[in-house]
Amino acid sequence: MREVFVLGVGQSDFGKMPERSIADLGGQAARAAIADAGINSAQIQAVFSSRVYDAMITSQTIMKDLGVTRVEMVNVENACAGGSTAIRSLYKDIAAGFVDLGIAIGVESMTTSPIAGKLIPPDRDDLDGQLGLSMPVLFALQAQRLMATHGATPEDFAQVSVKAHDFGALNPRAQYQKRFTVEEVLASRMIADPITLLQCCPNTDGAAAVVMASADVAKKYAEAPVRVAGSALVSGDYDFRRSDITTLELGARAAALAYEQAGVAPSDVDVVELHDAFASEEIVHYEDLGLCARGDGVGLLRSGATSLGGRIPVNPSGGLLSLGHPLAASGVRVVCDITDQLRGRSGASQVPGAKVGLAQMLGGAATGLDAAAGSVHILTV
Amino acid sequence: MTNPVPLREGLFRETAAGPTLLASCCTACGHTSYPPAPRCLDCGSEAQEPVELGSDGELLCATVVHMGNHRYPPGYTVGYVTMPHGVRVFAQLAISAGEDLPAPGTPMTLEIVPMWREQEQDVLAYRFVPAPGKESAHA
Repeated sequence: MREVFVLGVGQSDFGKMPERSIADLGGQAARAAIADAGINSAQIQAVFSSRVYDAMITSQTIMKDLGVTRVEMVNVENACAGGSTAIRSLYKDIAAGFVDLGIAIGVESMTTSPIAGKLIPPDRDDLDGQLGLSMPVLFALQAQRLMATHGATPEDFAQVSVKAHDFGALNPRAQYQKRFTVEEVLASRMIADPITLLQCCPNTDGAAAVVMASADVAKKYAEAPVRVAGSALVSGDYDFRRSDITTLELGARAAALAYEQAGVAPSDVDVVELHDAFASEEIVHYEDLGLCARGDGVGLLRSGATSLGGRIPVNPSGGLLSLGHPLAASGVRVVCDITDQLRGRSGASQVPGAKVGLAQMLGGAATGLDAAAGSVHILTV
Repeated sequence: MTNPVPLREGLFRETAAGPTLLASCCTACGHTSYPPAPRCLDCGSEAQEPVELGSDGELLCATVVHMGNHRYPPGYTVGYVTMPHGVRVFAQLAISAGEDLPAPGTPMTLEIVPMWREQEQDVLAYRFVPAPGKESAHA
């Protein structure tokens, strides 16, 4: 298997922009990534794109405006982990030697999707969905268990959102560059106890893109390109196999695979970007990613280790909570933000001297599974 | 008036002893699947026998959903209930708005009720009602 490198990253604006098309949003991100890589778009040999809602030929729709035609283009969907799936798919094609240079794109227009302004439901025919389950409900029930088993409090969950917005206030790309207090988060409208509105990621339009290359190509364009040291994508397991709902086992499994491939331990990781669609789940991910011992997630949060200046900052971009969550874009966006961290380009939220970064994304709910798709990528310089 | 239709066939039924969820139990490994599975989800054996989970469970956790959807108005309560054989079931809970959420461990009992209307028919599904006086069947 060949080594794979990130050559360039790019993002579109994030926000509510119903007037902007998929080609427009995706094109903005792709152009930025291509410019960042310093390549010519004609060199691109493969395109993997992901979109959840109303998806059809997303890659071709975007790339035809960039002068890229004829090459292999693949369009994938894996709920919120779709962008990670596009990255993983391109990674495998480069690692296997099928192509030397390609681009992965995630794009979503949430404001024009059929679920605009609604709580994201499972598939139409899903049993639990028919009985009233939606994504915030799933995570609210998990938060209820965190309070029963971990000693978590509503203030802890609110603190996750406060932390995200502290970071987001430093990121010019965030949809909400605004700080909040714990009291303000708790006083916002209740969505599903204990999750309040300011503990939910906003509905957001946006796109992100990553140009990746083999070692031979990468060394022509960058002196020290960011290496994809570990790449994992797994599907969920049966819910009955987990003893409690305070873990998302697929996330732990993806992390273990990526750590093993990269030859790093959780304690080696300098910076993390992860799925914080709902504030409370971040505490679960701390444990699933091995950033702390099982059961210590609340303690890790309270210690400040995951905040700006802490031992292991989590979501220094501002996370989904302040950036917003254009579903399929987020899995690509976390790789963009980790790449920027490892290149020292993250401005006010830069983690000093970051050498090892982890980008995680999870997606999808279906009756009987813990979740649908989980992905972890470990990047190093 | 037309007859109500179940949400799905083979998930639940009324019996002389009360409503029950319908599951399958693997005679090879003993794993119980709900909804019932033609093939064991744990070991893969096709040796499955039907089993009734009954109506008694114990609340694991609950939440009130403050945003409605096309079927349910805001303010409905849902939760996970642990049933016999350790089966964890997601369902709505019959709690009135403003009532306190029942505590984890509260005994719950199943009821089969019309949950919504579709094509001028009531659609039957199940939900749980707190039964604080009742001994939980869950070991």
